[in-house]
Amino acid sequence: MKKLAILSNVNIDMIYKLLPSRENVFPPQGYGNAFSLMLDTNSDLAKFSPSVIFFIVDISALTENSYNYEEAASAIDEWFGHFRSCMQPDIQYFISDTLFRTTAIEDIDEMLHYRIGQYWMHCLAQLTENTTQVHRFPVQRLIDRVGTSSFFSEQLWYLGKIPFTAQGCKLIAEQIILQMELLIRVPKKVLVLDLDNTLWGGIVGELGALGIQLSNDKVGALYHDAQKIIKQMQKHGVILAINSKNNINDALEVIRNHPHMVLREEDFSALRINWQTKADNMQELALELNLSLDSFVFIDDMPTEREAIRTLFPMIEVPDFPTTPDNLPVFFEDIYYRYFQKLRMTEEDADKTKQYHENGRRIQLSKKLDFNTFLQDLQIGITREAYNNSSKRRLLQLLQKTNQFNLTTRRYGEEDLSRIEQDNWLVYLFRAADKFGDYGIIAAVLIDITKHLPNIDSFVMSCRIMGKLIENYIIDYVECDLLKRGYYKLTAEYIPTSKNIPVHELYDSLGYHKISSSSEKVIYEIDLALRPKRIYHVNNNLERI
Amino acid sequence: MKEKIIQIINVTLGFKPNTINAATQISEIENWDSLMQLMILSELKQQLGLTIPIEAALEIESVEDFFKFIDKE
Repeated sequence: MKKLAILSNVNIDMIYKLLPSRENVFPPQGYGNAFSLMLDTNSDLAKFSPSVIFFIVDISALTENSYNYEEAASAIDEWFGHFRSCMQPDIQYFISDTLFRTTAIEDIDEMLHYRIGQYWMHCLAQLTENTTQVHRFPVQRLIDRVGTSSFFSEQLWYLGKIPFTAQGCKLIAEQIILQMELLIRVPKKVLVLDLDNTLWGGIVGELGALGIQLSNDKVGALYHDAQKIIKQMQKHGVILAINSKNNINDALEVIRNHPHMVLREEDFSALRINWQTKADNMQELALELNLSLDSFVFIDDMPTEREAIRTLFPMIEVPDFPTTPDNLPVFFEDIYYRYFQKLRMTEEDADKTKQYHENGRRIQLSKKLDFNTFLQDLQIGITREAYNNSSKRRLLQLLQKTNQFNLTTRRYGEEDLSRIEQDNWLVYLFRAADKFGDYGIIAAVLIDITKHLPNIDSFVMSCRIMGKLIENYIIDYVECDLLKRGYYKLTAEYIPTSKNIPVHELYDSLGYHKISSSSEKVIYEIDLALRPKRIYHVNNNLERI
Repeated sequence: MKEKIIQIINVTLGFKPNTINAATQISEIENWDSLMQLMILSELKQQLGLTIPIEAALEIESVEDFFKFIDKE
């Protein structure tokens, strides 16, 4: 576990006590001293050297001497100013997102309290937009779940400067653990859904499209609201698919025409509505979506179906389904946080569904054509993307998440990139598009030029774009650029992992010569003047690129 | 109600059932510091609706002292 510290201007001793394995947690040293601990290079915090710091900030305490909005906003500005000046490049920060105590009399203060909370969120959002190091610590979500009276305690506040109830402390401690997990875990990608008694109540084959429970009141509204949550998940980059035993026409009648259906056909990237086994369907879905089964979460109300998938595909997450629909919307919310939530959204994530949907159309197209014609017809365009603060976020994501097309699997973080920048490495980022849409930034090559010969230190490409010979174009581009810069030779490495087998012979196929080979690493070299001709189908004259 | 209070105190302190009883003094239990006392107050309010005024809470010295507030509910 990474080392973490919790800093606050209120008493968080209980939250600390509730964390498991506290040997990696900085023991609280009072409260209200966060910035001094951070600025003092000899402080115990500096010696502890955490890689993650959580800020549980009681905004009311910060603004307690402010009696109007301007004064309060200025106190908040000051806090964020201090925070910025204390930030260290190698630490990830989480900052709480809401007010804890509500003491203002709203009618007198024209909703002062509410506006202060809004201003805090505004400043926090600005910060999280501009750096990948700062994340929102979602306390408001916890309060919404249990209600303010269960979350906050006046009694504990006045007795011990703890604004939270015991339950509130527990929820915050759990949330800290969850966010720590989010820093390292690989989120799931696909939500595979059953239909009957999952997206609506009842069995459409028996009741007909108008007989099922799906409406805007009573039980039908629970399914309707659950669908709204799923739709939100889709908007946040979760890929939806259906795996249902049904007559396709019955199901499509509901999906296309039912007035209370929220999820429509275009929201699903792949459909398997038939009488095959769900296991067969699952394999087909993986093929069509070009994603491995370990990125799937399967939701089905039938215990037997769940058990079958669990047994046959242990890599698929198959959570239990609620026994009554009463908690269905909350259930799907939990599914999102448990399996899909990411700390950071990029434009590419939000566009993923569109891309997978388009991929389905590409498969349809590829059935009729040979490979080269298929690639030509795709009208693939590749452009080099500038390396700047915005693309850096995507580069970090590619380096940290890519498993398959990753030649060396070096998981560089923000600190490493700073070093790379200082050493003037060459950073190549590539954006891809084809006639179906834009993929965003899909590949990166890092060239270390500090050694005797330039070396391809890292070469990563999104699995969504694999199998289109784009790598040939990218390597050609990089090699030509190096030639122009006066280099005549280039070295490269392949470091095997359990996941990057798809590229284990990439450099051989690109015409590189093996210099040395061991079970840990293969080293290659190429004479840039003697590069082989490589096949690719890239059309860079497209206007949209 | 008394049984429930004892049970909640036991669980909050992280003890096995029946580790403490009505006669237990707070000072006898090493783990029962002021922070745990606050957590116990919070759990009693949350789970049993037992409200103990701030001033009175500062004077609690034994498990039995908690029982005084049952009658006042």
